[in-house]
Order: sequence, then structure tokens, then C-alpha cells
Amino acid sequence: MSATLLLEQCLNGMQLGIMLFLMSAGLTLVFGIMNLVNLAHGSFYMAGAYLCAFVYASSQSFLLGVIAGLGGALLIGLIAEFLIFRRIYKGDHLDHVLVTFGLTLIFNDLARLIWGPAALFARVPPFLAGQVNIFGLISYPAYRLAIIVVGLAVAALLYGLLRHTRLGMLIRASASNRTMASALGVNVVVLYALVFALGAGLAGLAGLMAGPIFTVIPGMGDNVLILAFVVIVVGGLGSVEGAFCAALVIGLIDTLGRSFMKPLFGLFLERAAADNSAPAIASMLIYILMAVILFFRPQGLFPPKSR
Amino acid sequence: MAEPMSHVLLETRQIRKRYGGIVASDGIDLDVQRGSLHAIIGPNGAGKTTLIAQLAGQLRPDSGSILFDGQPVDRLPAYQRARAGFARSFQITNVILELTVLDNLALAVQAREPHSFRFWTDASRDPSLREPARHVLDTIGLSARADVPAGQLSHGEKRALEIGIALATEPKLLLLDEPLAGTGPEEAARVVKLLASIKGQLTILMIEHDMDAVFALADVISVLVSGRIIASGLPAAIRANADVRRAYLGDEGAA
Amino acid sequence: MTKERIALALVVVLALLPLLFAAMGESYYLTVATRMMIFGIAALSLDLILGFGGLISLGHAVYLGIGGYAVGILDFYGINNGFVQLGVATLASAGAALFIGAVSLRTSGVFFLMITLAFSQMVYFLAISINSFGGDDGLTLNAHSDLGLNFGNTQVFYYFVLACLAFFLWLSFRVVRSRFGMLLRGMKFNESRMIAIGFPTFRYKLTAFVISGAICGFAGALLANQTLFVSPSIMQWTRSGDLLVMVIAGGMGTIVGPVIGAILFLLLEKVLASFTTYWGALLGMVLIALVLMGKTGLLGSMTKGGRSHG
Repeated sequence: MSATLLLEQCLNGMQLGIMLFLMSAGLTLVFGIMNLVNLAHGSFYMAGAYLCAFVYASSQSFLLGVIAGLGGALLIGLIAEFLIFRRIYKGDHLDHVLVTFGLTLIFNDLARLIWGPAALFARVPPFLAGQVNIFGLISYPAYRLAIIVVGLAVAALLYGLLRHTRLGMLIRASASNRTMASALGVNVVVLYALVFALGAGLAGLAGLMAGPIFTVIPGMGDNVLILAFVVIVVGGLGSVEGAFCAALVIGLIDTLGRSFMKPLFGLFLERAAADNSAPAIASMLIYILMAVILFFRPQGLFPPKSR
Repeated sequence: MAEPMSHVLLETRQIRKRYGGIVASDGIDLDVQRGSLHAIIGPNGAGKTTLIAQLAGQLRPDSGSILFDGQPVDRLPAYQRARAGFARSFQITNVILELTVLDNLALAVQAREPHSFRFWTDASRDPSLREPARHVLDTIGLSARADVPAGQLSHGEKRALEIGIALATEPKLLLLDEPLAGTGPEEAARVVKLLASIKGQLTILMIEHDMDAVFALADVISVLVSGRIIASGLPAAIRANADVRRAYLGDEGAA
Repeated sequence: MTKERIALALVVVLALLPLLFAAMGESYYLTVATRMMIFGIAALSLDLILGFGGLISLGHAVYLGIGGYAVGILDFYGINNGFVQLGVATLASAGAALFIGAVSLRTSGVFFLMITLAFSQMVYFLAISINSFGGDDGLTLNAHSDLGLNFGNTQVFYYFVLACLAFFLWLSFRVVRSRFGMLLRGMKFNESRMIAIGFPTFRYKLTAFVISGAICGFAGALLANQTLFVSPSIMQWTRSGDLLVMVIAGGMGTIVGPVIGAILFLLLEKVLASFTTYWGALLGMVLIALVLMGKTGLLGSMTKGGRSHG
């Protein structure tokens, strides 16, 4: 185990964490403000990945691909909000679960219908295809570095939006006290649509960036979605800062766990036992972490303030 | 250790609670005599809700202590206070709307049992639950409505059931949070009659705004203003108390 | 028509089905019907906590997997005694439910939903990563559970499963009427009041959760016996979603409704799948329509119960 490997895995962990953050930020905002459980959030991620990969491949322009992915996810989010989600805000969580479960099924089959069940190839744009030398310490794929940079930039923008703009203030006010916000004259309908679209766009961004790294297939959003749930449960429902911290922690622990569990176990157990048990434990690591954190803080790291 | 039963069933000593800059409870001292009906009155914003929440166990006081029947209960979670004989009713009706009136009461009776890990016998035919429930049903005057889902009761009937559920747990102390809340004159009279009928059989601590009811029922009145008890004593004395008059008149019209 | 009468009618109909199938000469239908009954048991177990406890679990399919793998792993090591296998399957599921419940029941509704989902995902990944037990490909069993019955005979197995279903139906009806059942319903409708009258609600919710997990684990063991195969895919979150749909479509809080819901769901799945490979999307549309139109479930409308009545 060398220092370069450790550094590389840390960076990979950050990259996973950033992507999880992009997925979770929207999810936690939508929950915090509209009290909506959205199981179909992974579909926006999938839409971003598919649209970007497809348009990029067809047009040879990465820029067009990004616009298609981001814009497509945004648009789908807006349409879904208008047609369906709007009607279920007032329903209970069971309604949300059923509807969004149904939506996920529809989107997954739609992807399969349009692009088939096999993986769609998502190319890394040539200008990001190389390696970058970081502080002379390590050589790291430019694309993954770009993900980290873009993700951090978006996180900063989101922070700025929420803390320093009027819209952000309205969003935060609605998150902590819905009835008050609407009593103050906030156009709740438009606000909800905006927040929802924002969440969808962020998920789409995560998806289009993830395309070249993970496989672009129907249902790709489902596993990431569940990870996002873990993030927002640990971070605290409704808290974007919580999602950021939790996402990074979870991304790092998952990545480092998977890379170093086997050699770590190899120190204590004999080869065969380590080979068998290490991947199993590594895959459970973040859930165990979730259980431990919830045991001490059932409301997550940044609990929602009382309404 | 055998001790003679104290006269004081519920005692609070210097209960303090603050939320950020607001002091909701500012050193509350309260003595509730066994068997009495003790009313707490005060203007809105005096801190009655916070006091009740601390007594019932939903809120932990920042400092001070609460003694119930001689035992400190500040560390006890809400459900254990109920089991110790401390029952409460809610200002905003909190009955189980989907179950019948009798089922509501039977559940409260069931709560007295050491445990409910009984999976076998039909609870709706269990006389040890149904009989006491019917008795309370008669006490609160809802015998005719036994099998009606609680959600279909009138507001006054719901308020009666609200008290009934707390009664059915056979408490030592009944904490009533504005039992007359939202009732019209007829329904209010009904609730007052109910309270008059059970008065003396158990200790009642009542928070109420309705002065007619308070002066008709209370043995002792305490006045809560700005998180502190400014006067406590017999109704006649309270009525004549200058501080009380000032506090009320001064605060009239405030939200 | 009361729920108990419907349940009785259902059991009678199911008992007579094999005769019908034999007359039609289609023994394949027996296998299909057996599978439906097994999922009926699983759906019933979910109804105990969902319909009566008000707990929305999105990870219930994990117990199907735990029960199935308990049987599979014991079989792998040559232990085929039926009592041991079924016993371990039930206990292992109960134990898992105890752990999952202890962590997730201290939190509110939405947290609970997400945490149960996360834990089922965890076990799913665990099953995939253990290669000695088949990993991603699943684990094939060498033999059925040995209870002295010939489970290799589809009719015998069918009637065994039917007996189990009848037993669990009867057991559930009893439990729901008991003090524990009343308490469960009280907690679903108004937990704050239950606490205020002196019920320590957490331990009862946990108990219901454990019982529910145990029954579902038993169903998982039956499933493993039917196909002589257990795969991690039984624990995917979409399967948990299917179970939820079965319960809600059949009628939450009615015990027998979810069993019928399971049967109809699997039937619908088969029928839709024969038309198009995109039956998932069709199912999704049905779900959305169900919710937007207000769902009482089949049994809700039959017994004039509706969603919240038990």
C-alpha cells in the first residue's frame, strides 16, 4: 500500500462523494420543503447520463451532450412536477412511494425501449482524456479531477444561492416553515416547481458526469438513489450542508473501504478468508456506518429544526 | 420505608426553561394538594403550554425539579409518568378518531396492564378491559355513543372523550389542558358538570381560560404570568388580589 | 362479507384448484399458484406492520432473501432437516428484523422508509459479494427441506404451502384482535396519545416488526424450496416495492386483502409480460392511476372498509 495509491483512492472517494452530493442535494431539498419522498430521483440521473452520452455520440459535440443531459433532466423534472408530483404533495408518504415507484418503472422501461437493455457507451471527451499531474505527487485522470472541480463549484454556487440570494432565502424559509412562507405571500406553486427542477438538474448533472465512469444502462439510477438516501438520512433530512458532509464521508469510506479492506484483512486473516470476507464487509461498510451514526443521532448529523 | 402520605401530590421547584432569548418558565413553584382541583390561569403567552409539556414529560426543564408523590420525575419519559399515575388530556383534541369511543377507552384501560404482549384473546370481548371502559363511558356521559367512531362525535362529545381517555387510566393526578377549549356554552356546562362529578375522587390540575368554570370548580387557583406564579391561593383571595387584577388588566388585548 | 369469511372462501378455493388443474391437464399452473401463495404469505406479513402498524417498510423483501439463503446455506453444508432449516430461516429473519428495527424504529416515518430500504440493499450487496454461496449467480440447492414430506411432488408441496398460508391467516386474524393488535392499531392512528396513556410504543413496534420479518423469512424458505434456487435478486428494492403494491392494491389492514393482492399482482405480471416486455411501464402507469384516483384496494371496496379501517 503506497502513498500514491492512498492519495488516488482518496481522490476517487472525493469524486464519488461529490457525485453523491449532487444527487442528494436535490433529494433533501425536495424532502425538506415539499415533504416529498421521491423514489424516481434516480431517473433524472439516468436521463442525464443517457441524453448526454447519446447526443455527444451523435453530434460529436460534448457541449451539446452536456446541454442535452442537463437540459433534458431539467425539462423532464419540470414536466413530471407539473403533471404528477404537484398532485401528490398533499398526499401521505405512501402515495409518494407508490407513484414514484411507478414512475421509476416507467422510466426504466422507457430507457430500455429507446436504447435497449445493453449498456450505452459514454465517451470521455478528448480534452479530458488524459492524466493530470497533481502537485507532482500523483498522476490522476483529468476527467475524474474535472468531476471533483465541477462538483465543488456547483456546491459553492448552491451555497451562494441558498445563503445569499432572495430565492435561497425563500427556499430556506419554506424548508423550516411551510405555512408561514405561504402566508408571507411566497408563490408556493412556482417555488416548488423551481426547487424540483433544481433537484432534477443536479441529479442530471451527476448522471452525465457519471456516464463514462459507470455503466449507462436502464436502472442505473436505482443503486445511486439508495446511496443518496443513506447520505440524506445520515446528513439530516432537509439539510444541504448535512448532505455535503455526509456525501463526502460516505464516498471516502466506501472507496477506501473497498480498496483497502482486503490488504487490511490480509494482515489478520489468512488469504482465502480475507479474499472471501473482505469484499462482503466492504460493501456493508457504509450501511454499518449509517447504523452507528443513527444509533447516536437518530435525526442525522444536521437534524431538521422543528417546524 | 413507610411514610405518611404527603398532602402534596405534585410539587414543582423553580422550574426554568428558556428558548434562545425567551424565558418561558422563570422559576415556577407549584404545590398541588392531594384530592384538590387546582386551576392555573393566566394570560396568553404566560408559558402555560411550556409548563404542561414539562410536567407531562415532553420537554425537559433546564433546571428545577418536579416531584410526583414524593418521587422526582424529571428524568422519567412521558409514558412512564403516565404509568406512575399522571394522566393528561390535550388542549387540541387528541383522541383516536378511527376507533370507536369504547375502543378508545378500552385502550386506555389496557395501558394500565404491566404489558400488552398478549396475542391470543380477543380484546374486544375481554371483560377486564370492557367493564372499566363502560364505567368511564357512563361517567363521561357517552353511553349512547359507545360504538360510534370517535371521529364522528360532536366537538363537545370529543372533549368529554378526551377527558375520559385520561380518566380510564385511573390516574392519581389528572392534568387537564384547557378542557373547555372550543366549546360552546352548552358543551362547556356539560364538561363542567363532568369535572364537578369526578372532583374529589382524584387530584386534578387544570389549565383553563374560562373564568366561570375555574371559579365554579377550583379549590385552589394559581396565576401564571410571564413564566412565573404571581399568586396562589383560594379563589376568593385570588379574585381580590391586586397583582392579579393588574396582570390581567394590563395584559388584556395582548396576543 | 367479513374478512374472515373471505379468507375461508379463499382457502377453500385454493384447496380445490389442484383438482381443476389436474382435470385441465396443466400441472404447470400448480407451480404458479404455489408461488402466488408464498408471496401471499409475504404480503400478509407486510400488512401486519403496514396496514396495522402504519410502518412503511421499503425493504421487506430482504427477509425473503434471508429465509431463502438460510435454507440454501444449510443445504450447502449438507443440513437438510426441514425443522432445522425452517427454524433457522425464521429465526435469522427475526434476528435481522430485530437489528434493523432497533435502528430504524427510533426515527420518524420517512427515515424509517429510507433506512429499511438501505438495509435491504446492504444485505443484497452482501449476498452478491459472497462468492462461496453463489454471489451474483445465486445458489442452487441440492435437495428440499426434509420434513418427512415429498416436496419434490408439486401437489404435496402445494398443499403444504396452502396449509402454511391458512395457518398464517388464522394466526394473523387472532393477533390483530388481541390486545397487541389493538395496541398496534392505536399506534398507527395516534401514537402520541398512546404514549400519553402510558404505552412504551417502541418495544411494541419492534415486536410487530420482528414477527412480520419472521413470517416473511418463512415465506422465503418456502420459495427456496419451490425453485431449489435462491438469488440475491429476490432482495432488490423493486421486489420490496412489489410487496408494497400487493398489500395496498389488495387492501391494507385486512390481512386477507394483501394475499389476494399478491395473487392478482403476480397474475397481472404474467399476463402483461406475455403481451410486452415493457410490462414494468404498464404496471407503473396502473400504480400512478391507482393513487391519483384514490385507492381503497380491492378488499376495501368489498368490505366497505377503506384504507384506514381494520
